[in-house]
Amino acid sequence: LRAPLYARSAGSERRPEPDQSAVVDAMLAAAGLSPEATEREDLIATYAMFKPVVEALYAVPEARYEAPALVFQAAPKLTPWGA
Amino acid sequence: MSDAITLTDTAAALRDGSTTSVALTQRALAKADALDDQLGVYLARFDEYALERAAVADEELAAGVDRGPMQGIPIGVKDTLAMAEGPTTAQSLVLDPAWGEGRDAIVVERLKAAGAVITGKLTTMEFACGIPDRDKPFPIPRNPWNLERYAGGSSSGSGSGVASGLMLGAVGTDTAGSIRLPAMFCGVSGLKPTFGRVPNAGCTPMGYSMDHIGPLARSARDCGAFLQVIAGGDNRDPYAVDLPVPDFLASAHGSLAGVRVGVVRSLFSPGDDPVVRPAFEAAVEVLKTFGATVVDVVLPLYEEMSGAAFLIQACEGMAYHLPDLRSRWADFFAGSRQILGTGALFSGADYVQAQRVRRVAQRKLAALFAGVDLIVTPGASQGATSLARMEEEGAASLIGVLHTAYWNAVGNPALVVPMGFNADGLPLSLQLGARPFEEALLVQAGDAYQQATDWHLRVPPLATSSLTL
Repeated sequence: LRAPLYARSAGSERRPEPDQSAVVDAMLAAAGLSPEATEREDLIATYAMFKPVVEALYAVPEARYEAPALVFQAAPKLTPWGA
Repeated sequence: MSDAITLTDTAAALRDGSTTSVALTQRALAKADALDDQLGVYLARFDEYALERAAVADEELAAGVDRGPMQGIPIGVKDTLAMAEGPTTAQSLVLDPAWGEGRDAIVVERLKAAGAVITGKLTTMEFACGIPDRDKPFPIPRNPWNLERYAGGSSSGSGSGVASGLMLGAVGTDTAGSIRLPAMFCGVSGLKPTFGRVPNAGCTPMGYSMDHIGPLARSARDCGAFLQVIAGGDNRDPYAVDLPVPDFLASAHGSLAGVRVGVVRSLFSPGDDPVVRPAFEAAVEVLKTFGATVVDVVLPLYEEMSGAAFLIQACEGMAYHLPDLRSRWADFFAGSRQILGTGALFSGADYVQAQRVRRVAQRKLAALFAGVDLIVTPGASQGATSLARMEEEGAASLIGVLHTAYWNAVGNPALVVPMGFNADGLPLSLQLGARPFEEALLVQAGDAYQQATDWHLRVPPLATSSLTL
């Protein structure tokens, strides 16, 4: 299981701000996704739940000058699997 | 009285002539015949192939050709990994049947070379994501300790198959806990290696920067033997780390003298199953009897990493699945749609910020590990969730229950071992974390703990038939 933080019931207890619904609709449209009505409501609730989680990531002071935990290799010694 | 036998004990039995791989494989397949309609362990079985490989293993062992402890051992492989003998579905209607056709994942290649007897492909949550969905044409993985309970996921068949004796070990994958959760809920051991220790190529991705392949088996020692075969770099995998692979069993000598254990008690909450904390404290006491010293610690940035883990896997998973999500939305499981769809709700900057905080957490955890060698937590705050509750509430039924995703976000290895049962007769687990690439210490500690306890040898009543493996 991948998403212990995803909450249908817990999220549904929250009452998202009207603008959050609009934001989610815009994001889903931009991604080209067309969830059913109940799924849209769940995603709005999830967005409301995760908004402070995401803000908390920007509030970690030690991250201010930190580099991401991803490394790009200019000269990868790679043979694709199955090639 | 347990009728369980471990993978490593079986390897010894194969060498002293007290059993054969063919006999083991026949019993494993017979047990699957008897139980799998109830359990939902297999998506595909390769009976003929497995018996052929078992015969080869017996011939080789008789001729003195010893390929190590996996030789002749019946195991299963999660159906997110490619294997030439059959199609890979990732338990999804969406995966292109041509993906991986006729090829072996690197891990499967290594298991075959080690002489393991792969009996089939095992159930998962769709693409190692989401929750069971009765509307889709795949088995519902059930918990062998109580068929109305969830087996855990996403490596569901791996956990229930090992617990029920349908196999002696299984390959799982773990992006936020998917090896450890089914191991915990089904009462077996599960080892998520360090990120990069095991190549992922040939496995469908969920979260590229957090995916791990690893073993589930009865004991920590079994997991070490299994990891020995599948670990090591490979230039076909961009994340695989080319470091020497140590002997993971060399230090499993029954002593923890000089080992400093950090004990995390900050994860307990009033809603926990009341049995979890005393079981955890008892497990810590067992570690002390082997010479470990303990000190209380707090995992740095725990909440932030739990959130970052979800954000990262949602974004990375969505990148992989977006074309199909656009064109085949209804073909995905409902739980997958919800989790993957969440990837649309985060910005590129959010994703990068999560990766930046991840680096901070790595640094802080490394500083913590300067003072301790191992960190222990409860694996979960309860036993297996009911399937009915999961269907009613979705993954929300596991909110706050699991303590696994942190270790995916930081990349360190983590092992779970059974530590008791709750009042409903469901298994509970201890989780141990170590420094990067120190899986051997996890095996050492887990093995010591299992020398003093027999929780890992308990077999579900459903599986204690005459068809013992």
